Amino acid sequence: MAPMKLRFVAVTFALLLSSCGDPTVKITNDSYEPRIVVEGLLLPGNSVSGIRITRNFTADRNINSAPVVIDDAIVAIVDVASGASFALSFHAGADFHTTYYEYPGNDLTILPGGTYRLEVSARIDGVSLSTRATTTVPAAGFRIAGISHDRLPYRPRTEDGEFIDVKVQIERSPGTSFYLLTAVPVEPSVENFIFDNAFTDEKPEDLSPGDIIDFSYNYEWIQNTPPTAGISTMDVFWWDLWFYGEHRVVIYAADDNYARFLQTFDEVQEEDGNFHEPVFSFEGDGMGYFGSAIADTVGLTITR
Amino acid sequence: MPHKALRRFALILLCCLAHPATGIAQTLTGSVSGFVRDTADGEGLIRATVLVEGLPLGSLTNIQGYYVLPKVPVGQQTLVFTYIGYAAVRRTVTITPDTDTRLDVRLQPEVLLGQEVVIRADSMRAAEMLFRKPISQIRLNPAQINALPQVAESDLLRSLQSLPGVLPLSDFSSALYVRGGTPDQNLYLLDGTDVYNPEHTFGIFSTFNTDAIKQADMSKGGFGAEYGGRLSSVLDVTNLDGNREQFEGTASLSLLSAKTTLQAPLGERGSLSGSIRRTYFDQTIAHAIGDIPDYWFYDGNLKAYLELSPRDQLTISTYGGRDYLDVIFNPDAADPTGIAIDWGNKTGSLRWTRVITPKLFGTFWLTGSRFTSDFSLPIAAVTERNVVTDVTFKGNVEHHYSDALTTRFGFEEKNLNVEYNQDFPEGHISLGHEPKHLVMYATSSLRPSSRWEIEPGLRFNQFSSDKTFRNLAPRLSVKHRLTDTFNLRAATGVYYQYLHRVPRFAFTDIFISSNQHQAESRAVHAIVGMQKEWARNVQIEIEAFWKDYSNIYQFNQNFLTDFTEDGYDEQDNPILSNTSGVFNRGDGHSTGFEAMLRKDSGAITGWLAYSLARTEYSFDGINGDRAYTPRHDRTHVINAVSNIDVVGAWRKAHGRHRAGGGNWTLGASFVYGSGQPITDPGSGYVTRSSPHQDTWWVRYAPTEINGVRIPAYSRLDLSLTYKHDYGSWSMAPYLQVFNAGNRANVWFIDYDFNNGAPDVEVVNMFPLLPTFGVTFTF
Repeated sequence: MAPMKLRFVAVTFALLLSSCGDPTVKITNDSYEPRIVVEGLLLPGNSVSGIRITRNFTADRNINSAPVVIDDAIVAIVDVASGASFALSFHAGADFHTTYYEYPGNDLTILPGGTYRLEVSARIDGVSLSTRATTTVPAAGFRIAGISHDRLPYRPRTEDGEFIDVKVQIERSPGTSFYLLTAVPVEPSVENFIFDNAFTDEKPEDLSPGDIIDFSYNYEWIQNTPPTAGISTMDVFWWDLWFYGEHRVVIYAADDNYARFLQTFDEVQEEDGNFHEPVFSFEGDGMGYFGSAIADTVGLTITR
Repeated sequence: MPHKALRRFALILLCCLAHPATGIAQTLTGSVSGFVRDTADGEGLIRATVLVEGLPLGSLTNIQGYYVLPKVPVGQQTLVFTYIGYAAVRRTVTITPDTDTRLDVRLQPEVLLGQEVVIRADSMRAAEMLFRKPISQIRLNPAQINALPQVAESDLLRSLQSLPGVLPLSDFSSALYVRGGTPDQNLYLLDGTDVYNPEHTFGIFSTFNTDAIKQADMSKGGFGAEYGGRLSSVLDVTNLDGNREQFEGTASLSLLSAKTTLQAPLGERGSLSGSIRRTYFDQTIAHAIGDIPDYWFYDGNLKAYLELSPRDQLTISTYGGRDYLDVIFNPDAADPTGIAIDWGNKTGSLRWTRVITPKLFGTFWLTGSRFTSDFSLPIAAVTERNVVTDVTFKGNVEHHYSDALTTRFGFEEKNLNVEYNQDFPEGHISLGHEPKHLVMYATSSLRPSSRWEIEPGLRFNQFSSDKTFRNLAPRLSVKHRLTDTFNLRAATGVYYQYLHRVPRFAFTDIFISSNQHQAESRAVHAIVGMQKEWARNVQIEIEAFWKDYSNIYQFNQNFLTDFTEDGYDEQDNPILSNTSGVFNRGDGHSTGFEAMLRKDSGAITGWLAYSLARTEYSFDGINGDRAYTPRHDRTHVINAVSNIDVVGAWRKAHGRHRAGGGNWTLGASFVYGSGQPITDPGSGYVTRSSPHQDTWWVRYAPTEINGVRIPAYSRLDLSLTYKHDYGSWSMAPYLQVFNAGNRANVWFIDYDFNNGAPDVEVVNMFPLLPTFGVTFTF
């Protein structure tokens, strides 16, 4: 009986010990699989450029020391209507933003309503991978019809005491139901930051260059708009505007691929910390987005 | 009833009601019936045992404390009334043929008799008590709930989380995951009324004020035909009727709230009880810290009991509670703005019980329940309103034909209004149904011999929203006394649910009823188990279960891609009024094994439990349609809960009798659970959301849902209470230490990249949290 009691005491003691301490978390990356990452948006009227082909990486990889750009991928755009294929070439730039694939010729014109397929193959971690995605460019017709205020102070009120909101009217593209609005300050800086701000209590001494970059790009979207030509209204919310001065408000009429990416890529970690899958539109070993959009821009200035 | 299922139900109902005349001794008999109540406060004692001494005849009291012994042989018979923690009472009555003898009895709590701390059932064996209770059911009384150390103050749902098969998702949630099911699959009943979203403080605390609770029964599966509408479990909470003998009250102060419960007689034939609780962070700590949101909640309930006649009782019960939160983003701004949220429940019930004949007992309810939540974000013109209204009329009649046969049949008409509206500048969401849920059920308790009890049941559901669903839900429970101290039992049943939940962290869940887009959910339970009495007052229960789910629904995290509009307003903004795309549909199954060693009386009480479980889901569109383990799955869980009357235990250990009341009580609760599954980010990638973005982001793309497990969870909670009597009142200050070992239990892992370098942070749950408070009784 004594050994039994001893064992019981030992087990109890071990369990109680387990209620102390700091358990070790192992990041295993067991579910990692190499993928070709695409960031590509076709804009009618522009040349095919800015198509970024990179690789994915494990969550513990320092991407400063192990760059992610793939410079030797085989990349082509196929005009589905004609079946013509156009090979893209790598453009090495000084940084991530200026490094991309592009079509160097002048015989490829992206047309509204046209359908194009991206085909990519590359070797990552010694594994041959390939992927493809198809986009149909939104039909012509989209444009910014007007902005309610192109110049106003920060969060002004009407004579009745109501806040004045900035609204942008757009003419919709037939067949397109998703519109992205981005608000980008022309001169983001600590000096231009709106410190008397309803949404944050940032102080000048707290703002790092990284914070300035984070605050200088904001986006909103509307979805499920009527798939017919007509007028819709988009808000530039006050939480999209963090700096005094001039802003470029760019609105995109987006195809389904781009819309699905925007709707899901930034929300994969749930409130309780767990992850779920975003929606990509690739066949094979691809992730990211290959889509198309029509863009239009309007100016907005926040005065002091 | 045009439907084939309805005709089948009627046929089976008739079979259930057809009383077998054979197999029961054809001797001259009479019946005995009455109420068993508590001497101290006159409350009816639920499931007290009544036995005829020397004969294999017995009965249990129902929820009103009513019992019937339908066929007692004529002549002088001695009845023994027993209830755990109360002194047994023997009464000798003379039974005359075909006559009912009314015998109301009051039992006295043993602790009041001789100031003896060792509380145990007198003549009732633990095995008998175990045999009588339904399979997979666990009962907690207020003393057990209050004895468990918790965060700030006792909490019913958090107490239940220390039982085998009942799991929390994290320290921050009082929600219950029962045998692999999700919180929406639990039916919460408060005095017979459905309660939706029983949560305060974003789920950290539950809405049930433990001081007002008379009894809480948790059924983890295999429940009978009188319960339905949920797939996994039933929590049936009965509040205090009120003291029918004298005024009494309790008042408590904790770091969280102040609360009081008062009870008083209402004339000679009734009683009244009421409780109220309010948090006071907003009035105390918030003033000192200044940087925490303005938040508070209150809840209260009032219950009146009236004995209209010896055969009629009326109970009126109400509950109300609400949480308020105001968050100002930057209070120092010249023109501040923020969000405002409030949510809460209101319930009310009118219950009439009637002894229609001594063998026929009827209970009828009219209940109302209303949950509302409101959210507003004025700066963006966003408002949200979520409403669940439930008005129910239901009845239950139990017929005690003989000791070998009791039949219960009932009906329920539930009128629901399930509504969710959100207005925002670019659209409107308006989801709403007013479904009606009709239920009929019948169940019989057959005791062909003293060793067997068989309980077949059948429940018919008709749920009508924009589509009508009709379902038959058969139930069966079998119990067998293998020896005087050893019972075997098994149960199976089919369960349907017509409400689906959109869970939201830090916001109350949204309920959506079954409709043309989301069908009814279905589960099948199969449970086998054994019970063993060990050393008179120690019970061992072992159960194995299998649960199969079909058509269960999980909120579609990518619902934005699947929403379809139903029309447009005059500004061409979409109006969304259907639930297509809101949920992923799935199936699943849970299997498990639970063992529990429990001691309810004596100087040391508590339980030691182990559970082994596995749940697997398959949902359309999740994990590439492959099966996966849900986040709430824990393979191994050990619970140890102990409440020690320190002085009594010491004196008993040294063989000394104790004089005077017990003063020091030590509570300890330990839990060890193997790690929960979690999704690792799979891989990171660099992207920008548009060509005009001047920076780049790292984002993640998981490929395997819940494919890894976080480290094991372990926690020890302690409490120490000192109770001092001052004659007519007493004071009990207490100290509680939550997570006494200060273990850094992992909640989740936050992945990020800073300037290209990985930045992985482990987010932990509650650290060591000492809290204190005081309770006064008078």
